[in-house]
Amino acid sequence: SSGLVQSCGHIIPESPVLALGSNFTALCILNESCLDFGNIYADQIIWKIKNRVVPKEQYREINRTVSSVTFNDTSSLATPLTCNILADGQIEQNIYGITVTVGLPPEKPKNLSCIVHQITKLTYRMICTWNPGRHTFLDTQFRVKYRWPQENFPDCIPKDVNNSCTIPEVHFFVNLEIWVEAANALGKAESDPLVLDPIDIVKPLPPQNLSVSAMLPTVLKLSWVNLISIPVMKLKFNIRYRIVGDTNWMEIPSEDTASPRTSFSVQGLQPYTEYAFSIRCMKEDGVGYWSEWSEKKTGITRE
Amino acid sequence: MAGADSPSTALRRRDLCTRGIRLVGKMRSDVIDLLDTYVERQGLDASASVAAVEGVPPAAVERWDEQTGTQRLLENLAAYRAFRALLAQMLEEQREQLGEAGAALGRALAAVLLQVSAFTYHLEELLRLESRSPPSEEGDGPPPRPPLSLFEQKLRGLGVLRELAQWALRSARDLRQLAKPSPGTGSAPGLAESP
Amino acid sequence: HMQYERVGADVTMKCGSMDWDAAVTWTANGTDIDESHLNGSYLILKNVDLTQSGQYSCYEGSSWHLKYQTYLRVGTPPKEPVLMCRSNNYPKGFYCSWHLPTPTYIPNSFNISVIHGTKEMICEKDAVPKNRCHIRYLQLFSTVKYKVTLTVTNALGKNFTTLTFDEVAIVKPDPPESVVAKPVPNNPRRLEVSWQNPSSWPDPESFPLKFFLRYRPLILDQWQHVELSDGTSHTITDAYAGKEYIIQVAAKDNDIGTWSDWSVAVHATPWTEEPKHLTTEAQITETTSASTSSFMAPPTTKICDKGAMVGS
Repeated sequence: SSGLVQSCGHIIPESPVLALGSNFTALCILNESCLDFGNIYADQIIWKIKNRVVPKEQYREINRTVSSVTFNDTSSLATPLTCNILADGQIEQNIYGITVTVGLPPEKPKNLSCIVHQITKLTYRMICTWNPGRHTFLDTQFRVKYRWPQENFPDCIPKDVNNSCTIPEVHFFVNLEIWVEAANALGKAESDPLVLDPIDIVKPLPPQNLSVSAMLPTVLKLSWVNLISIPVMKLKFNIRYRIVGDTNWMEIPSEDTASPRTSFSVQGLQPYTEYAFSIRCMKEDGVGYWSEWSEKKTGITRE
Repeated sequence: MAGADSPSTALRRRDLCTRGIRLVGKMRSDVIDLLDTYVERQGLDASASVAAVEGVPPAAVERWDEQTGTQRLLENLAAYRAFRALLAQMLEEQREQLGEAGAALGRALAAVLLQVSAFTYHLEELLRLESRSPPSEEGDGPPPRPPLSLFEQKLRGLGVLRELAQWALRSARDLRQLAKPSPGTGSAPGLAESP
Repeated sequence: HMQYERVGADVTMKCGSMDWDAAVTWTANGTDIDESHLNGSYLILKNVDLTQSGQYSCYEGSSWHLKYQTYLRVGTPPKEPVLMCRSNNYPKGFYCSWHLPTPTYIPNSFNISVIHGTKEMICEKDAVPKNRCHIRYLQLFSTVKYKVTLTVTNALGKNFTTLTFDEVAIVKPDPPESVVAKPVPNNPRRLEVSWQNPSSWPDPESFPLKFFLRYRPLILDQWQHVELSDGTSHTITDAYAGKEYIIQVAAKDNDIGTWSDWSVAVHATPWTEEPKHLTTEAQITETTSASTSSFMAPPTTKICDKGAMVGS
């Protein structure tokens, strides 16, 4: 090489990535030019891992210039693996060294699941999560791939994590095929694909502007605003309430709030008592996810 | 008269029709929102009347109720393929005109373009269900036309979006016609003769 | 001979071919007119008003020959007419109806023209009501606007009004029909409401309607609303136990146009538990007297519209 120091040999393969538990053989090849000059031969090569000498049984002299070393189980390997020479009466000299990376190919990502989170009235984001599988000890890239039958979308590349990715744009009423691809130096693996219509995995925002108005001594009327428009989705609701200061919530029977609405009269309350209310919603047919509970709102029944 | 449906075909058609209706419903509301943004962004007058824009398939149709199912699908398909090309062109022009300042408008346009593309696929699938291969797309692109002035481009874009909003209405009605069970059989009619 | 004059006008009538200084007699509806209204043989009516409409006759002084007779109609020129176009049977067509903001007291004639793009469309007059005609859609889903011009003419003047609208903007269904509300046995807070699409709506399958239901207990003024996008029934699940409710429904095309007027109101009261019947005579008497004071017989369901009997 044209560097300042002329190297007397090299190791192949150069910086290998090896599967844990597999076997591995490296060759150290001495340059002819060094042979004449230094009076050195392959049989004088000493292999080292870090500074630990590799047992000679694992060496094999291929020929005058080439020595090999074999490891039956790469789990004993470490970086660097060096090829050194001990010429007669001289001090040991390093000929060449390589970094050795040992790891595992990625497992097939499992349990892929996605949720469409409503962010604002008109914007949604889809967050997909999966089980990345065992630790591979290698730099492993995960990508979420998704497409329509006739349209491919740019991959979603996770940031700083390996088990979740956020897809910024969501389109409803069209089946989407989603899968995760994991790849590292030792291989690639793909999850089973999910085929779904994003409308069926929505977690809506909770109802907003909840207000409580006193109607009768035993009746408080709740009113609210739904943030998902009807053309996108019809909603059903859960309503819970408790006397302020109490700890346990009571819930309106879900069958009473199982259809679209923007108000509900809660009855059977105690007169002149302050109640706290909270409400959540989800797609009317029950396919999807409940929203978070809304912000609590209180109201006092009449005397 | 097309052969009676297999259950899976009928199910697949109903699914495509149902979701297609919801898709064009969502698309229409997105296009109407987009129209407001477009008019404001491009400095146009919302009530400006735009003559028929060349290359934009008019949604207006006569004797709509007498069309067969296949006619409906073929006319829809031709229209949405044209809109796909027109919107792609608009997106390009818009990027040149507004650059980064028009990023939001660009995203909205791109979102509508995607929905148009998705609905086009729905239509092709519906035609395939009737073992009719969708007509090939050569020559479907907008006819080459002389370069337009900036203002003409903007007006043209307005015309495209308005017509697309009307088409979304028409398509929902067409799909509901297709989803109608034909009298007596209870199953959706073979497209050839559905009213 | 008919003569039209504007309210407030000054009217001069000549006695046919008689000279100015001829002796004549004028009558209005057979009643002699006072000399003060005469200028020679001319009849002068100042600042006429509606009451002066009538038959005016002029007779030659001595022979009482009828020399001139006219029927005076006092009125006003037409103001700009009020025109309304609406489609309650979309997509078949739409109708336009009109009226004058103020009466003219004299006959008017109306002429309507309907232009769609470059095409003139026929507006077929309805026998009844007279001030209405209807147009069949030749084209659907058009972005081209409709322009309807109504011109009203009478003897005293002419006016017109023009409406320009999109096909979708005038779609307004008739209210839902046959609204029925029923209590749900064993459910003190439920009411089952059902209705039908307005019969004027021709194709609810391809042009589905959505509905707006409003309900309130009679004891309160505030309505509760719920929007329903398919089906023609709904169960109210939060009705106040034992309270009579008033319920109405409105309709709108699922995609276009505006809401109908509210339907006829129906009343209903949720189911209430029957008082317990005791075995012994005494207990029955005791219960009846004790409970009557506290127990009001559940108010029966009143239907505003005879055609919508509960449970029928």
